[in-house]
Amino acid sequence: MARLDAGTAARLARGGGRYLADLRVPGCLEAAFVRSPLPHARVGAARFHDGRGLTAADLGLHPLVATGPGLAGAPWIPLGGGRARYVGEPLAVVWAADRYQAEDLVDAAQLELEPLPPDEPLHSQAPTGVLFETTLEGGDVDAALRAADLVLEGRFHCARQTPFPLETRGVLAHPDPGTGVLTVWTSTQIPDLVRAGLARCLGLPEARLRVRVPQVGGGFGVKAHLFAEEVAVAALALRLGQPVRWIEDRQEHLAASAHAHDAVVRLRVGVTREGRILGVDADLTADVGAYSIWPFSASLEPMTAASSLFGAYAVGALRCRTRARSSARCPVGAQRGVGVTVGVHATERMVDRIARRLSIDPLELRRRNAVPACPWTSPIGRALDSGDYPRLLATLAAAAGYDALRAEQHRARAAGRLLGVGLALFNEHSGTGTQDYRRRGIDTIPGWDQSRVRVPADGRIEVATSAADAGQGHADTYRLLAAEVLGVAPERVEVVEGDTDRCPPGTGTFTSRGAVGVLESLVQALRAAAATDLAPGTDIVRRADAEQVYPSGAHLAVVEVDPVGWRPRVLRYVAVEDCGTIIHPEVVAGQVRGGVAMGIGNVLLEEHAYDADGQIQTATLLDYLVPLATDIPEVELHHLTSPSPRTTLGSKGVGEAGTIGAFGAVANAVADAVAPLGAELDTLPYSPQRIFAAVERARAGLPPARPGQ
Amino acid sequence: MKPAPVAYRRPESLDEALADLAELGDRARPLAGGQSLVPLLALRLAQPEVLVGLERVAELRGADLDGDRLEIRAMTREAELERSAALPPLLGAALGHVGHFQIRSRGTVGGSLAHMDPAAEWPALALLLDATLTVASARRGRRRLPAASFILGPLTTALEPDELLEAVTMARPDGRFGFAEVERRSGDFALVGAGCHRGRVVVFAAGPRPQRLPGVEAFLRDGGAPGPELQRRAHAEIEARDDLHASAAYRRQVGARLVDQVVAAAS
Ligand SMILES: Cc1cc2nc3c(=O)[nH]c(=O)nc-3n(C[C@H](O)[C@H](O)[C@H](O)COP(=O)(O)OP(=O)(O)OC[C@H]3O[C@@H](n4cnc5c(N)ncnc54)[C@H](O)[C@@H]3O)c2cc1C
Repeated sequence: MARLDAGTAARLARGGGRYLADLRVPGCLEAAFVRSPLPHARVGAARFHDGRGLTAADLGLHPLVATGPGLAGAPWIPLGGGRARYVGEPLAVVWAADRYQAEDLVDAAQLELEPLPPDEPLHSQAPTGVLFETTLEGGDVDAALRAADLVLEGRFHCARQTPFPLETRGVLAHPDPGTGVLTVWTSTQIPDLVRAGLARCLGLPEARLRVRVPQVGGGFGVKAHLFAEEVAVAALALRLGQPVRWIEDRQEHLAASAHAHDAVVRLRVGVTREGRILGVDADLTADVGAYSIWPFSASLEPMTAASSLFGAYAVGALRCRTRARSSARCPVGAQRGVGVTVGVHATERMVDRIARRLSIDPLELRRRNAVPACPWTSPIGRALDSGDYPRLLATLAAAAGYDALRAEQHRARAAGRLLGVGLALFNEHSGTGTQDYRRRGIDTIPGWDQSRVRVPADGRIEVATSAADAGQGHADTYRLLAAEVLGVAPERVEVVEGDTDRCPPGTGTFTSRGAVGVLESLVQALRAAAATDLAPGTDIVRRADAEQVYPSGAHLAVVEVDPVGWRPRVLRYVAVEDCGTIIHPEVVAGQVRGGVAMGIGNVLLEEHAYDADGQIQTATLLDYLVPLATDIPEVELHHLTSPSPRTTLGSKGVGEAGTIGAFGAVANAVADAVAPLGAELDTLPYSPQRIFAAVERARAGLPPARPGQ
Repeated sequence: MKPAPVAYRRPESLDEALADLAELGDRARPLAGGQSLVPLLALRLAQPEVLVGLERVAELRGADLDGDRLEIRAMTREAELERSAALPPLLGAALGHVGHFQIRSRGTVGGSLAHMDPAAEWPALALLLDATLTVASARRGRRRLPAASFILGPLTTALEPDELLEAVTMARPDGRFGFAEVERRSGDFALVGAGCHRGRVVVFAAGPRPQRLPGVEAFLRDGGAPGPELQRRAHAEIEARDDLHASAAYRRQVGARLVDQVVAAAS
């Protein structure tokens, strides 16, 4: 396949990107938000300087409800609708000529807030605070545990985190009094869903809204939701008949965009003496914060986490009771790898614990339990389309020099060093389609995607999809593909995304859809176009509804923990990926490297904290620690290629695998480093403080700390 | 994250700067490198009416690093010191831990001392090296304070609102020394740190202010050496606090180990 030069990456690295904050619209006003200082309160009268402020009631905003099996039906309410449900929640919008003055208006705003008791339910639809509940079950778990020689237990907690794209959120709404159409520029991964949600919140027909996405500086899941600020800015622009914009600052991003994780997984695993895993009984509770977020709902994190447990292993029986609980904290939404990171952390830590207990090498234990061959269907119905798990392990062992590493570790330990080697074997589901969403009970997401190939009179070839690039480099990938399929020069191809007027509607960009459903529709549209003479006027649209596919991987990390200050450092990282057919090698490598970097931060550094009064403690970068370049080693990347039979090209998506693997490999490596001290780690992030506390508990002969300690 | 309205003055001399502060009192804040003050303004945690920029005050610039007694004037940027061949190795070792080079190219020695973050390196160095701080005001003239009386607590010093820190002076720190800290990422404020020079031992980032360990120092004077007993004494002596990133227990344990390390390095 032809290669593009590194033009896009170089341009972006040099600051040549044009993002939402770079849009110049004359006369554009600047909005800012009055945010709740209290975790739970009733909102009374509001007074604004010069009358320049509006609440949900003033703007007449409607709530949205994601319904489906297991969901309590609690609404998502833009600007709270008279209630504040977490610290930082936007309750009113103000506007001025610039952001400085807008923040002065925020300071001057007077909102009467009547604090509500902490035990008062946040939503009347969920009096006990349970927003979602279900049980996944397949095989006879109780019989499997009875038949086991040994039942091991574990409890694992993933911290609350934020996806943290370099570009924060932002929205610019621009009414056109002539046509009556409101153009909403927004930094989003889901333009069509934003339009659908906006239309309902504002009570407008979708035809009156055009959603456009400028260049996006990273999404990682957080930009795959509809946000109150988008709704409020759109409503305000309509009200004032003037363009209005809001650019999120970092403090707003940390406190009030969408968080992720905050899930506790309890496992009981039945094994034979030889280390065969017979059955898994799991219980998972995710704290999803103040709302059932739209469009994914409160089921997102608990469902993906539960269904990914032991996903790469041939386990005969599995049950997971899972639920989402509300709390007066920032709502939880999607983050790269969504719940799979939570599931893989628990699974991989548990597999290592089993290995240690049975004195079997962790690699060998994984060999004994890995899914032997694909296709393979798990007891809970995950139908793995492709992949070769034994070969992933063999490739990883050879690439990393596994035996030599263990020998080195042996010598290091004898010399008093805390050196750990950690493994992860995993898969993930990507490209979720209509049936998958309906089965999971999510009715807000279409699941299908579309692409359109058009030849305008000037002879350009315009390729438009329902995805929205968030910095992954779709345009590069799609342009290459189009050039190849159509047999034209890449320069002739223009890729269009993120414009509800120019692109066919669909689902958007998340769960690595860009290489699955979106790509499928694109391939079909391109092939249909290739069969024509590409004459001006050609206009072909294809729709594809992806079947879930399962990229897989095996990762290894080497971590050394400083025995004085307990600081862990990743010394080496080896990743073997199987994302099926590779369409653009540089894009794939970039996704894996960036994903691993994010995973390292998630495992070692990142954690949101709230104090006993519900105040967020981590709203600045002094306290919310993201990884720096010095925290990330070179990622040694190797590929296996098992094409998916479910996509035409055989690609499976690669946006999230790097992060998911790190949740297993890095976590296990830290735990392995301090295992000789008897320390047990189970609560992310594995910070110096947690390592210290685990070592101290082991010294004192105490059981491992409960999550949260 | 935008500052509230604030006026800006830029005096051209020390007298002019002191006159501004005498006139405005606590309605004004001096602005040095801005690396601590500007974030506080942006978060609206500090809302002075007037910023008095010290950038043009020539009397506050520069450092004499050549003699037996060092004088570093308040507006000397950390990056300027780092570039100086005469910089004593102990100061160089500590400076490398102050943020990142971007921070050090704006941040000033006086700003760091006046800000008195409990985890900052400069207040710890001042205490360790028994530095003298010269402060000046239009009304009371000059005062010279030993570091131990200048440093009061977290974000609190002996400076009055109308006073400026002019310079810090100290005997040239020659000879063996130890300086070590643990940070979560390179460039972060320390979780805990320690320094040792000529029998003086200081721990910082553990408690509300950098702390000398007189018990450990006495132990060393009596011929004590690094090892479990020294660590035990340090552990008992370190004043530590809990925060988001580490517990008091962590800070005592790791602080005691760092004390052991820096004492060993200095002896
Ligand atoms: C990302 C980041 C990381 C950092 N990491 C570290 C670190 O690891 N270690 C560390 O020590 N510091 C660290 N800092 C803080 C940095 O060193 C600050 O620059 C320094 O503490 C303050 O110096 P400044 O010149 O910027 O002062 P400013 O921010 O301008 O002022 C700080 C305070 O001192 C007052 N002030 C300034 N000069 C005078 C004077 N001459 N007389 C009286 N009052 C005065 C000001 O009014 C203000 O209250 C970090 C900062 C950042 C942004």
